[in-house]
Amino acid sequence: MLGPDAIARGDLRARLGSPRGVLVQTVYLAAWAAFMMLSLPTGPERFGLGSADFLRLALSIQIVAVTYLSSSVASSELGMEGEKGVADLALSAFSPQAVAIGKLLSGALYSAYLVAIGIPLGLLSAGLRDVSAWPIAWAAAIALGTGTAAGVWGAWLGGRIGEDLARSLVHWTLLLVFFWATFALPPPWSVASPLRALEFATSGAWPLGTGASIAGYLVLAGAGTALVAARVRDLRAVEAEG
Amino acid sequence: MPSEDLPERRPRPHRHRLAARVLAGGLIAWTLAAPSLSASGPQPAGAAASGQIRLVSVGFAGRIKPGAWAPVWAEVAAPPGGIDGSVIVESMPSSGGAVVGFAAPVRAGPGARVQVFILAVFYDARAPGMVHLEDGGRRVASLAIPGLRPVEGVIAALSTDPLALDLSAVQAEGLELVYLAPELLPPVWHAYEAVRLLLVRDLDERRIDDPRRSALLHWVWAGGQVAAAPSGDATAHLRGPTIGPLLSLSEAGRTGRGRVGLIPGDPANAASDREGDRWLQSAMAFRPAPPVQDLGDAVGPDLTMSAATQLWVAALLGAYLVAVRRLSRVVGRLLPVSIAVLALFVAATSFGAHWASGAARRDAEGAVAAAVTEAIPGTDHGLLTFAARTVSREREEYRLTTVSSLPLRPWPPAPVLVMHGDQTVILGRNTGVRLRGTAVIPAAVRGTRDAQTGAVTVANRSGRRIEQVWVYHAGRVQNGPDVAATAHFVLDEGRWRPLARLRRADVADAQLLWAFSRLEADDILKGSSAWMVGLWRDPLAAVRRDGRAEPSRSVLIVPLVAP
Repeated sequence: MLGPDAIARGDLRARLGSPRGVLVQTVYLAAWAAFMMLSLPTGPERFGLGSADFLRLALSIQIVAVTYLSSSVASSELGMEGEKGVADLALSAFSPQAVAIGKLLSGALYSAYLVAIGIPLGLLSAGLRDVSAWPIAWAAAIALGTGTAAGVWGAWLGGRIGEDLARSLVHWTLLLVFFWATFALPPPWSVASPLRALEFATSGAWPLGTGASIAGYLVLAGAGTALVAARVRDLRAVEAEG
Repeated sequence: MPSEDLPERRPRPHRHRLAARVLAGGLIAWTLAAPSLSASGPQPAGAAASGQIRLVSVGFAGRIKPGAWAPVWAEVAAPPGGIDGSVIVESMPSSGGAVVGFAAPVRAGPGARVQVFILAVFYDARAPGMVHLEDGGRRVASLAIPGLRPVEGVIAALSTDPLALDLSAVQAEGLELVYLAPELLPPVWHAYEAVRLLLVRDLDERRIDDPRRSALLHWVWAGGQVAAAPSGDATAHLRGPTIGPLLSLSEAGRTGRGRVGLIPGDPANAASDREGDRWLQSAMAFRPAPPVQDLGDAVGPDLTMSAATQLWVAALLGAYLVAVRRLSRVVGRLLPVSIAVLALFVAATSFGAHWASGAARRDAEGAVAAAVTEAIPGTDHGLLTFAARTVSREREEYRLTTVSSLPLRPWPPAPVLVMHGDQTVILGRNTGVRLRGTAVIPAAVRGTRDAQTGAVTVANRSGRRIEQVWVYHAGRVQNGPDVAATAHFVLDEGRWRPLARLRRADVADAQLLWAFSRLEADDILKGSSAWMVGLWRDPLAAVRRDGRAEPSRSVLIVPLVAP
C-alpha cells in the first residue's frame, strides 16, 4: 500500500522539527520538571507527598499530557507547520486506508517519542524519592495506548469538524469524558480509566486489568482508524460530486 | 547475675613419641586458642578472666520492664594488650524480629578490670539476648543473658535490712520491691524508667559518685520519686551530698515534675507508726504529668533537600530541556540513524538521571526529626522529647549522632546499633527507622501571667530566640511577639481564638499545631492553665548525619505561672 509511512514521516517531521513542535515538547517537559521541583521539600516545615504517591501522580500527569498532545496536534488544535490533516490528505493520491494507517502510525510514533523523552524525568523522580521505577514502565505502556488512540481520533476530529471553535469544544469534551467518566466508573470497570489502570498496576491489585485496558485503547485506535478511512472516502465523494 | 562454674579441661600425657609431638602441638594450639574458646561458654563465677566479660547486673535485681530502658552492668577484664572496644547488648524482640544493639565503649590498660554500664532495652524477658565484647572491631567474647523477670515496675530500696512495708498495693500493680547496692544505681537517669520509687534508708556516700547523684536529680526533675528515711537512729545520710540537696529542693518546691519526701520513721521497723506504708501508698498514687510521648505525627513525612541540591538538580533539568530541543530537530529529520540517536540519547540521559537522583538523595539523607521541650517548673531545665525517622537508601550504612544526654531507641524495634558514650551514635542500614528519646536539657526560660491584667512576662536566659510565639489559656490561643532576652506584653481579650478553630494556615509549623493538640489531650495542663508555645533552634535537639547537622527547629512549651 502506498503511503502510510510517508504520511507518518510527514507528520513526524512537522511535530518534531518545526519550531512549534519543539516548543510543545519543551512546555511538556518543563511542566513535569516544575512539578517535580516544587514538590520537593526544602525543610521540615514543608511536607511533600508520600514518595510512591508522588511518582504515581507525576506519571498520571504524563499520561494526560501525552494523550492531550497527541490528539491536539493531530486535530490541528496545536497546528504544526507543514502537517497535513485528513481534509488535506483527502485531496491527495493516498488511498483512504493509507491515510488512516498513516495517521495511526503518526499518533503511535509521536506518543512513543513523548514517552521516551519523559523516561529520564521519571527515573529522576523515582530516584529522588527512592521508590521502584516499575511504575514508569506501566505508565509508558498506558500512555502509548491512550496516545495512539487519541492521535487517530484527533485526526478524525480534524477532518470531521472544520470550524476551529467547534472542533476545540468537541475535542475537550471528548478528553474530559474519556478521563473523568471512566474514572467515575465503579470497579472493576474503572480500570478503563488510564489513571485507575496505572493505580491498579502499581499497587499490584490487578495487572491483567491494566493489560486489558491497554488492549482496549488499541481497539479504540482501530475504531478511530476506520473512522478516518471512512471520512476520507466521504470527503472524496463530496469532492467528486462537487 | 552470677554465672555458672565450669571446670577447666586439661589434656592428659601420652607415652609414645609421635603422640607426644601431637600432644605438644595440641597443647600449643590450645594455649593460643583457649581465650576465645572459653569465651564462648558460660563464665566462671567471680571476676572475669583476661579478655573476658562477666555480667554483674541486668535490670534491677534481674527485673526489667519490657520495652523500657534498663541498666546493665558488666565487668570487663582487659587482655594483656589492653582493650579499646565496646560492650554490645543485643536485644531480641519476642516476635523474632530485628535485633537491636545497645553499646557502650570500653577502654582499659593491660590486665585492668573495669565496670561498664550499658543502657539497653529488653523486649523479651525469657530470652533477652546476648552481650558481646569487642576489641578493635573484633568480637572476643560473648555471653547469653540469662532469663529475666518481667515486671510493670520496681520499688527500689537502698537498705541493708529488709523493709517492713505493706506491699499489697505495690504487688497489685505488678510492681516488685528490690534491694540495690549503691554501686548499681545507674549513672544515667533514663535507666530509672522502670522505677516507680527509690527508697533510701542506708547510703554510704563513698559508694556513690557524682554521675549517679546527677542522674538521680535529673530523674526527679523528669518525674521520679525519692523517699528518704532514717535507718534506726542513723540520719547522717539524710544530710549527705546525695539526699541532702534533694530534700532541700523539695522544701523549696524545685523538684520539677517529681517528688522527694522524708519518711519520719524507720521503714524497716515493723513496730513503727506505719509512716512508711502511708508514704508508699501516696507514692503509688503519685502520677507526674506524663511528658509528651508520641511525636510521630509531628515528624515530617519525607526527606529534606538543601537549596544547593535543588539548584543543581534544577540546572540539570534545564540542560536536559535544551538537549531535547536539539535532539528533536535531529530526530525530526527522520534520517536512518534517527532512531539510534534517540535510543542512545534516552539511554545516556536515563543513566545520568539515575546517578543524579542518587547523588541528590545522598545529599539529603539523614533524619527528619521533631522535638518538644517542656520547661520544668522550678528549674532552669526542660524535658526534651525527641523523635526522628531515618531517611536513606536501603543497604547503605548511615551514622547518626546526637548528644550523649539524649539516648535514642528505635521504636518499633529495628536493626540498628545504638552506641552511648561521649555521644549517642546510631548505626544502621534501613530507611524509615523511627527513633525516640528524652533528655533533661538547659532551658532557662520562665514566664508569668497576671490573671488580673493579662500581662505576660517572659525571661529568656537561654541565649536563643523564641519565635512564632502563642499563648494558650483555657482552650484559647493568641499570638505573641518573638522573645529575645525578655518580653513583656499584654494579652488582648479581643484577640483570643478557640484552639479548635485554629487552622493550618494560621500556624506555619506542623510541630506547633501538633503541640497545641497535645496541650489539650495530655495531662500537661495539670501543672499550669496557661502556657507559652513557640519555636526555637536547639542544638541539643539536632541529629547529625556524618557530622552534618540537620536543620531543625523545636517546640518550646513554657508554663505561665502567677507572678
